[in-house]
Amino acid sequence: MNWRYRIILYFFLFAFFLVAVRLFYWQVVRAEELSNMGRAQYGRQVLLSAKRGEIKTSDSYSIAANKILYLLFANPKLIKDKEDLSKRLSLYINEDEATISAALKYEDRYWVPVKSKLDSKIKEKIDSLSLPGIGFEEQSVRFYPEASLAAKVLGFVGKDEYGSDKGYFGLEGFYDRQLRGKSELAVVIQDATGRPILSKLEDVSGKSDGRSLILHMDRSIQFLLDGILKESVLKYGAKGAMAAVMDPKTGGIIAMSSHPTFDPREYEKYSDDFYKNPFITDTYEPGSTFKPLIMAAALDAGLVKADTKCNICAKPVEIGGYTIETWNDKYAANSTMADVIKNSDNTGMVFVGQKLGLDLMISYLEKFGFGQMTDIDLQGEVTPQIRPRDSWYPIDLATASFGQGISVTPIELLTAFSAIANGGKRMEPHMVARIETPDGEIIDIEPKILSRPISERAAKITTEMMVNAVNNGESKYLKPEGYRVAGKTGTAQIPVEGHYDPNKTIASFVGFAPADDPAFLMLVVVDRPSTSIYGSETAAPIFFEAAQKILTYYGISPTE
Amino acid sequence: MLTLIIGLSIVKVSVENSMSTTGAELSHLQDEVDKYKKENSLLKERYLTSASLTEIASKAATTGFASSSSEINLAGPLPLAVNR
Repeated sequence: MNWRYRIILYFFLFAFFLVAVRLFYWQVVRAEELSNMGRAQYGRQVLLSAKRGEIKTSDSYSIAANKILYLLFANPKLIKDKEDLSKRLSLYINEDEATISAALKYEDRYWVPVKSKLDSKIKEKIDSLSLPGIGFEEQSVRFYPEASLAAKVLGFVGKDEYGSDKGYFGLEGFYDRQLRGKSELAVVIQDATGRPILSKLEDVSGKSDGRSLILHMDRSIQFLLDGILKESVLKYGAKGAMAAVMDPKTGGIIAMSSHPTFDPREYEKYSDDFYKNPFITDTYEPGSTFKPLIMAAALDAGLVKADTKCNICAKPVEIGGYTIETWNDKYAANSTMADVIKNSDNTGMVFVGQKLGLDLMISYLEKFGFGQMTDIDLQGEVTPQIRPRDSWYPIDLATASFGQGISVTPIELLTAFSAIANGGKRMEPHMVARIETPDGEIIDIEPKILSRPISERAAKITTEMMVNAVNNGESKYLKPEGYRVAGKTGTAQIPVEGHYDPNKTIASFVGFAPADDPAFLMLVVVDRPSTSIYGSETAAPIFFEAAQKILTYYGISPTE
Repeated sequence: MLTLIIGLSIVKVSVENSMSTTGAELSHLQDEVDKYKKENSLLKERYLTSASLTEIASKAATTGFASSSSEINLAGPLPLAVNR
């Protein structure tokens, strides 16, 4: 009898083993798949989209916000009369009947997009028609209430390779990860009628809305700068113009503008060239606006004083087979350093450059930040390199001293001048002053000193020279009455295929006011003006028009 | 200990039971929240458009406002010391 018991025992053991293996298969191997199937039955997946953070000016006004628009979709299987539907929809959605019909022709599909970015008024009108087989999906799209104001600073929001929103250029690009936030798929448990059940909450802690940016930008100053530049490009027949205003004490960028520009609401209608911000991407030879920096370096090194006399300024200077002349062919023997800046004397600057010598010249260029990124928080910054020491010739030292033969970006030049306006301290330029989290926490971005290229004393002496240049130089009639403004004009030739273009220039003006306690520092660059090639006749009027308005806006009274 | 476990289990079951039928109210509340969020979004959009400097400048131009061409300073510099 034992063998019978044993067979039955083994049979049952084997049967239980098979059951155990099967249970293991369903509960371990296919566990996730079955769990998802179950979840699909009792719950529905909801995409908790993260709201993109906003970009606000210093007065907390959102210049980049989000708005709700709608995507109109159709279910071709439920539409009996496609022609009639196309005809009726075309009256509301600004699309021709043929395009709508083409979208509805896919009879094997349950969902086809018909038109995106419809506003709520159009949605309500179409809803009221109760048309069969159509519906709406919400879309959150970027909204720029100030239109193209500061467009090149903002950038725009496009799509990445997965169809998700992504920022490109400017602030939208640089701060994309912070602005984007984190979307999450959540499961809402529902009863037999489809209503949610409160007792079971799925974990939704992964979702996080994007952070918002609060800029140093003053909306009013940005608006007036945009307007002045737009008019000036036409007035001076220029290819383009750009300007930026900085608080030299913090490096905060109060305004930055360039023309021509683009509309970020319709960025796709513009070519890629329009998206770049030339203030951080374009390089140029700065010309005479460079002179105060070289002078400040020589003053700081103790090689010259304000009343040092130039002993080579009586006539053109010959160097390495080249002749250095003044811009107006006027020469003044024994010019002081103050006169050299006032008269924008190239021969005087050659004198200063020779005093500095190559090693000190390169050292000060590096201390002023040339050849290095300023690390401004905008996507797309470039920086041209300073040529290596062993490729400098005497003529290069001479021309660099008056801003030719050396390339800079406007933001590099502006940042370098912050050292003169700020007692010798060069500040890191910054668009964003604070970051606001979705919970309301504010994260301040502290001002950062990049370097101290010159002493406070050298900065003050250079400031006085620049005030003297404004009061007694070519732009003296443009200066706002009663204010001490430090500034310098620039008229730089443009290198073209190994020589300089004889007819075209880059005209510029850099300055700050009030000179004794600067509220702002501004650089204006006009690209190839045709009415006049000179900075004093194009860039300087732009600067002083903006400066007068800014001084009035800040309520700064005259001091003279 | 066993009494505590049984008691808490009964409490859990009865609380979950009472909450399980609040789906309708929850759904209604969710709809209300969505509705107000949308309204807020639309109102914010209208406010931002109305308060934009571009819009204000455009309306100002149509109502006859013009940019000032000169500034007058009412408060000039004050001397620190004067001769009598």
